[in-house]
Amino acid sequence: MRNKKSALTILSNAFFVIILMIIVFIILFVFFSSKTSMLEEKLYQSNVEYTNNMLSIYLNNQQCIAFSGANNQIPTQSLIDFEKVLAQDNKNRDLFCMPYFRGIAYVQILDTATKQVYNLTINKSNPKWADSIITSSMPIALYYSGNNIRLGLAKLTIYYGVIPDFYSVIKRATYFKQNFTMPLNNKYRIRYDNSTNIFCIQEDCFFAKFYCSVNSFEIPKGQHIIIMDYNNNSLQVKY
Amino acid sequence: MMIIGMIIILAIIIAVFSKNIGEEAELTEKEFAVYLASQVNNAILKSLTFPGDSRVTLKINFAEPYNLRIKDNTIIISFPRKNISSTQPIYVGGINLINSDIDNVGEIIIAKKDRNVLISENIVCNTTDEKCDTGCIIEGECDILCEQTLELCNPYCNISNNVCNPNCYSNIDKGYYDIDCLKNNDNICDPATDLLSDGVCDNDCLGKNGVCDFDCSDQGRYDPDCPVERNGVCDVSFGDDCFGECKCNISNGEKCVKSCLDTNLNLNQYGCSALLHDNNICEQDCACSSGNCAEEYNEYGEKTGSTRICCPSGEFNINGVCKDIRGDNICLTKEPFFENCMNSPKDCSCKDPKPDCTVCPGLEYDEKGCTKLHTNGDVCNDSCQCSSRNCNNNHCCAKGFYWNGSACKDPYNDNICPTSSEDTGFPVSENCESNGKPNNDCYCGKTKTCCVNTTISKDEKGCINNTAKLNNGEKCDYDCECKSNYCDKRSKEGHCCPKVIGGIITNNNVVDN
Repeated sequence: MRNKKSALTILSNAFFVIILMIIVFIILFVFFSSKTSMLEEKLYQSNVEYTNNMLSIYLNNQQCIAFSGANNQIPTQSLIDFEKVLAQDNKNRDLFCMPYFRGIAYVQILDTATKQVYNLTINKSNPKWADSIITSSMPIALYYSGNNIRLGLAKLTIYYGVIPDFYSVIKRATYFKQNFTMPLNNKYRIRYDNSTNIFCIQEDCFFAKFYCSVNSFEIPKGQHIIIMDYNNNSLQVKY
Repeated sequence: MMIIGMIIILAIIIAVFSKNIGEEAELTEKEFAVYLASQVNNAILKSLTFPGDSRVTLKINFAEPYNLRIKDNTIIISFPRKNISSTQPIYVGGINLINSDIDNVGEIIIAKKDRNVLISENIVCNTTDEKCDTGCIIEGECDILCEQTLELCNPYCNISNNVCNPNCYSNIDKGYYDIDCLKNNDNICDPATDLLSDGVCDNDCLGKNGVCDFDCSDQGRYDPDCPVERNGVCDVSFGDDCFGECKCNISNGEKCVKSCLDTNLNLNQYGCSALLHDNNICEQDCACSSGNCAEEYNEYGEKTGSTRICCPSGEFNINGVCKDIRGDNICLTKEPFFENCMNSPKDCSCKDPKPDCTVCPGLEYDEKGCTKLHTNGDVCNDSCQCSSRNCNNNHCCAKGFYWNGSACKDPYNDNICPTSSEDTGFPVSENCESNGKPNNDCYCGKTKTCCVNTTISKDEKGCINNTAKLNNGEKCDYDCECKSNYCDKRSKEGHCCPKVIGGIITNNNVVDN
């Protein structure tokens, strides 16, 4: 009888300890997962802010589509030169007129009167290789020849993710003339052809904007360590 | 047993949290450095979003003393007490990020002028002191002392004055465009030349270097950094077209019409095509040499078909043939014809009840643009509304007449002699004479004579007293000045003379002819 009682006590104590441990692990799990989601939220907010800023910078840049006026005076906010839009339409290339180093940009200009849409960067919308897509838009005035002005809308979408990050790091390396080493876990094949300057993610290709010569490369999907070696106005990408 | 278990669990909790807290404490400075770098990156980007110059303030709440250095596009943050430092890159391109050194301040300013960005606790520019003030770059001034610092590029020193500022002439991003520095074959391609037409082709910018010198590509020299449409060659396979460097054969009548979506055009690979001539089938205006792709109507202005043809400007597609509809005795007032009494008076002549063809606000028009002008006495607010073209006091009156509140009146025959238009509000001031004839409204009476132009003292109506008139022999200008009512002007100066005699004046005597 006494042995039975002490056995029961031990059992209940052990049970209590197990319950306590479970509670502790739950607390720890919640603590760490909330920290992770907070970091993700911060990154998202940072990307949103970056996208908004980039759209404003783009619309003010006279080397892009901002209306220059006489003597390249300070541009009027969001006044867009339609001739520049037309000249850059449907070229399937990365944003060439200003340096940027996060993600891959996708710019569309909409003429609200004619409903015509102009693609000023790469042609691919909603690509499967983008892990996160953030769009910012702003109403604009499209300046046509003959002092005609029509309303429009500018939309900048930036594709974020592993592969856009990789592309951006190449751009950084060529622009800032730096070496980089980075891990890459890509779900899609990546290749770049130096002779044509075409960068492809699986079958989605576009003309790249690099700031020095980059060697041709092809990276199969999988986990890799990428080494970017800048030397003598040329970047070697190896894995 | 339970106590032992609880102690073990407590130990685990303390171990895990203390390790975590310890890591947090160690990471704090590094995290702060990363955080600050990202904040500065974002603040620089924010400062670039303004079309003009800008200043963005960044508040820093960090208890530990720190030193912040900006050097060659990197942020170096060090914590002197703990001997920790962290280096973070700033990845913003296209700017001249000025090096700076800041110690432990609560807020920093990110100031931008043109392409120059300075991160500092305050912007100071004193060109008379004995130190180089980088703030002068933001103030747009040149601090001569900074000239000795080769790391610093102040574009406001020696720019555009035929002297190259060597501080600003380098291959790295801080370089600033200076046309005086662009030399060929010196292995320096000023990055600020990128996408700029300045009339100087720098050979050093050719080749893949991220800099597109439009002047080189415009001379037909291939620059792979330039956009395909301006890289110096016609690259159809890479999307180049006649908007870019692919030329249309103008001698064959070709034009660049790539943006024209008319399927009747025969676009070549460059986007060139000859435009359609008159009476050819078309879909859009841009396809026609006349710029007018006209829809089909019958002679009564009703749409009859969907086939459009090119027509000369001003002509319409009437039953499949281009035709000028003016003068066909049919007034087509609707779109797209818009005939009216002005542009097509023969077809759209005005008849009662709107017989007048004129343009004037405030009138009612019919579809032909005809109206009826107001007659005398009608209310008006513009003279063009009156058939007399005279709107006075908001009423139409005959030319020269005025509205006195109840009727149109002739100002010279209304028994009123206003001598000042300001006093009366009437359109004119009057005197005793009107167009060389006596004005009955301003009769002088029997004791006075009307003499409007005389210099002799006269009243406000222009009348002089008969007693003040001049005697014979006195100098005069007008007949009305003389008692004799005759001023003889046959000599150099006029003199009053008896009217009956007439005569000339010699030695102030009246002489008979």
